Amino acid sequence: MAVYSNSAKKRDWKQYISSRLGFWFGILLLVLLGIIVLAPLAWALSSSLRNPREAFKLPPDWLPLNPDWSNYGKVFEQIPYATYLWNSIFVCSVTIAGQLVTATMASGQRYYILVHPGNPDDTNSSDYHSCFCTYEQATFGGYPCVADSASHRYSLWHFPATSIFLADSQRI
Amino acid sequence: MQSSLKKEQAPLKSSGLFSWLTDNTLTGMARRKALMGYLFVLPTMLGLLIFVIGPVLVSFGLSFFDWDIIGEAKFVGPKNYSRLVDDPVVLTSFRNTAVFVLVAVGFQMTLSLLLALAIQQKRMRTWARYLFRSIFFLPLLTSGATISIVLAYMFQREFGPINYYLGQIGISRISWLNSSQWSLITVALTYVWHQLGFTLIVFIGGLGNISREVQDAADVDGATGAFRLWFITLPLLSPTLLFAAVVGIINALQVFSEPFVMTKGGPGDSSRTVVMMICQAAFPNLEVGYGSAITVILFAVIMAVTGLQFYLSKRWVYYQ
Amino acid sequence: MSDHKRKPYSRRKFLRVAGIGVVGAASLAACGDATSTTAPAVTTAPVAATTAAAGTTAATSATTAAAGTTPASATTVAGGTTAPAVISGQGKSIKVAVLGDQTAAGRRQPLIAPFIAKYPGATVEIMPVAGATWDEYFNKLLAMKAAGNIPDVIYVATEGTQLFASKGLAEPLDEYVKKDKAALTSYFSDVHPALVEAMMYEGNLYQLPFDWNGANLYYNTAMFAEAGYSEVGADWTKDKFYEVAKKVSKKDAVYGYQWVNRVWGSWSSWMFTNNSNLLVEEKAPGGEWLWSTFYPNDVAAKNRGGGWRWTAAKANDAANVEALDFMNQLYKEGISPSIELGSGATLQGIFSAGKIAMTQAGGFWVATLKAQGMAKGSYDVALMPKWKTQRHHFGTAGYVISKDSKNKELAWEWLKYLTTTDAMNNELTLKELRATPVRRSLMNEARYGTDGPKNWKIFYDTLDKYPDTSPIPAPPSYLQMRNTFTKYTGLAMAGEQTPKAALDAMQKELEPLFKK
Repeated sequence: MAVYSNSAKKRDWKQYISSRLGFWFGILLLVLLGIIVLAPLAWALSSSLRNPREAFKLPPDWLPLNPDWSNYGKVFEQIPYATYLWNSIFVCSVTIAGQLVTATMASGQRYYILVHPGNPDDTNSSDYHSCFCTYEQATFGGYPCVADSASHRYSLWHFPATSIFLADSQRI
Repeated sequence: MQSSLKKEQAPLKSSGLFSWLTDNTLTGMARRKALMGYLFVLPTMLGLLIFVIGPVLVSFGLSFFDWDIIGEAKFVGPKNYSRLVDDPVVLTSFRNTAVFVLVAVGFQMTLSLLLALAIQQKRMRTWARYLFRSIFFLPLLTSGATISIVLAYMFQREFGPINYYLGQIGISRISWLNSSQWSLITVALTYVWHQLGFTLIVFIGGLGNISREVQDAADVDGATGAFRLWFITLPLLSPTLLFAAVVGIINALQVFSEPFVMTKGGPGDSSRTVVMMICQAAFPNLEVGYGSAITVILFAVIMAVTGLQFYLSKRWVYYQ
Repeated sequence: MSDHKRKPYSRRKFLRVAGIGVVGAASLAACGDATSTTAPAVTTAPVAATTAAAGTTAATSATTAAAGTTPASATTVAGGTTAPAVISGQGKSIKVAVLGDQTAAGRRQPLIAPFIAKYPGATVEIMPVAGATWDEYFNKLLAMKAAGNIPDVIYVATEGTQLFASKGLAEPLDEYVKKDKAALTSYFSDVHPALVEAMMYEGNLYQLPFDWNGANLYYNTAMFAEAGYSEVGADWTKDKFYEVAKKVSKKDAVYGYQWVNRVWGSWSSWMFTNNSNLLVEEKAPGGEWLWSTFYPNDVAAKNRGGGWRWTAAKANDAANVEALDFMNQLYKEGISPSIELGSGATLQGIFSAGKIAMTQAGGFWVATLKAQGMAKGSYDVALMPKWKTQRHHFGTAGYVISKDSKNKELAWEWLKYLTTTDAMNNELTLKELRATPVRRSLMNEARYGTDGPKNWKIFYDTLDKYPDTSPIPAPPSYLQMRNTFTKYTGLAMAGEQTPKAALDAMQKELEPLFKK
């Protein structure tokens, strides 16, 4: 039973316009900056498919019409790229694994994995779908990776003998 | 009867370290628990000690020596520091780094905040959010040196695409990398391009943590637009802002690959940063002691700036 | 949901899991090693194990070599070597550092098998050390020396010869050369004495030149034809050069002339042709043993001493200011684009894209221009135009034996082996054309006829016809000199300082380097 005064109507109309404007301005900003941010990568990608001579043309050809894939072959010929890649992967994985273990040990906290499959009727997309959490967080509500606990009801299942919780929620 | 039995069961006691660990008493248990705690922390501490604290201490020590890598290190006391203070190139590099930090971190934080706000808008579809997030995160996946080479070509005055397109809209050619005014800004632009994604993700996370209840309350109470941004969103975002600022400034103070690859210090010394000076002192000048002295000063500067930020944060950061 | 009673993660369980994790990581490491995590080294360990006939070792090394290299011609090696091997290489190994990436190492792979055939049991490991320019390469080698694992043999260019020699990193080769006189006579007779002199320091020889590059003029024939010129004539002067460059340039589209901000092949060419140099030149005494033994009747070897000495800086000499003024004039008039720092890789791209008409480069461009798609005949080479003189400059490179090496004899054998025609032809194979060989006999039709520029003869003419051609100024303090040189050149060419002011400042900064 809403009663709208004249000033309220005006205020609503202005808000409507400004929020719409805000949205489209945001889109514009995103698209413009997105193009600027992607441009060097796109140039690098299209140059990789071309002879060096053609890569330096002005204006630059953003789309390679006759892609020349030989450059990629040359990379593997000229440097032991596969070896370097493997080295990076190895160093990365061991480092991360090591850090996880030692950091967790240092923090003295036991972590569980909480999996939340998400809600089909919930358009709030700041829901993540899985996270690490402590036991208290998982069982006593206030899940760190699922928002809107006030408007949802959660049920929790624990996969036996593992550290994985499965959460399901329903809008109240 | 039972109480007398308990009294007779005196706890086992032996002497020395063995007993310290294996005492079957409450204190023994407490000690064992504490020991386990220390052992658990040991790997992290060892790593920190060997790889972080160790080199830092060696660096501090080396700053009082003269060492050219090939020969022996000679003790010279505070000579390196007094030389540092009088060296115009080093002072220029500190000034350049300060300007760089202001420009780069300023740009980076503002742009990522705007972008994060734009991405997190209510009306934004999920697929669009993911799309834009990925787009802006892509530059972070490239290595600083490689992208500096690509951008150095793009900023080239006569043959680069950037000046070409600027020419199309009527702006005359800018000498991005070959002039003292622009070289530092160009390097800052490259740096911002590279790091934008990181700050963006941090801010998106921060914005996502603003609870729904507050936002709904704001909606109901009619707080919109700029008012909402300034009085609600930003204060709730302030811990994230502090984090981004601290990390951003610390990283920007140590910038190296972008200026080194793009301008090697720029025309003259206009884009020479402190870390470049440290590197130059080691190679090719072979004056490791001098470089260490510069490192110590930089360390002090970073500590001071970070400390200042934390002190000021008491004013404007709102913790829930 | 009633897990409150569950025991905390017990220590036993954790240790078990940790143990499995460690074993897992170790097995990952093992399978990493199998694909050789030591990326730089291209070892010939499997080859060294076989002491069978040269044929089979060559075949195995060819298959283990990086893709893209030509298989070793093992059968022709026997003809190229001199006396049969007297030194056993058993158990000895040498590490050879070269500038470049894996291709650089791969291109030298075919050299190893014939060498090992002569010294069975020896191992040679070619280690590529990456660097965009020579000073990055030297920096890395100095770091290796600090770490205590400097390689036995190091590929060093003029830029570093005196640096290595003066810091005691290189072993003088005098005694070795005197001992092996017979084997080296044919080599020295085929190499111009200027190249050898560049590798001497204070009377001692430190390297045997292997390849070199003179700074010659490359020009785009199509752009020339468009402007009405057929070629760069042998009689061109600086004024004619200016006239042509101006005519060929089209405002904001193509440029007549460009160069890279570096020591070799930059405005240094104009310093030289204006009869000046960045530093004051002198010749060190000594060296008669070499000249009298190997160049007894050579006119070109007269007046050569024990190596170059650059004793003082004269950056702001009037002739230098004039040269830099000329460069600045070209830039202001739109004949030259802005000058970049670097090694010239972008310069190559821009030249092959037809945006600049002329630039300086050496023989090493022939291969890369071909790889970038420049058709034969679309460019040509010429000598620098004449100003007060027509003095050219060059850089050369060879291998140095580390003073710290434990296998100096084997290292010397490697150096000697590389002076042979077959070794030089192997590395700089006709397909690769990477650098200009120091042997006059190898600068022939076979090398440049099919793919090279029409006037390839001028490459060696730079040495033969111009006896005053000398190496770039490369004192022991080369690395700092280079930084100062490029810094003030950059300032002058960016228009922020007049050439005179820039060179004055450069002089002030260079002087302390020569106070000894």
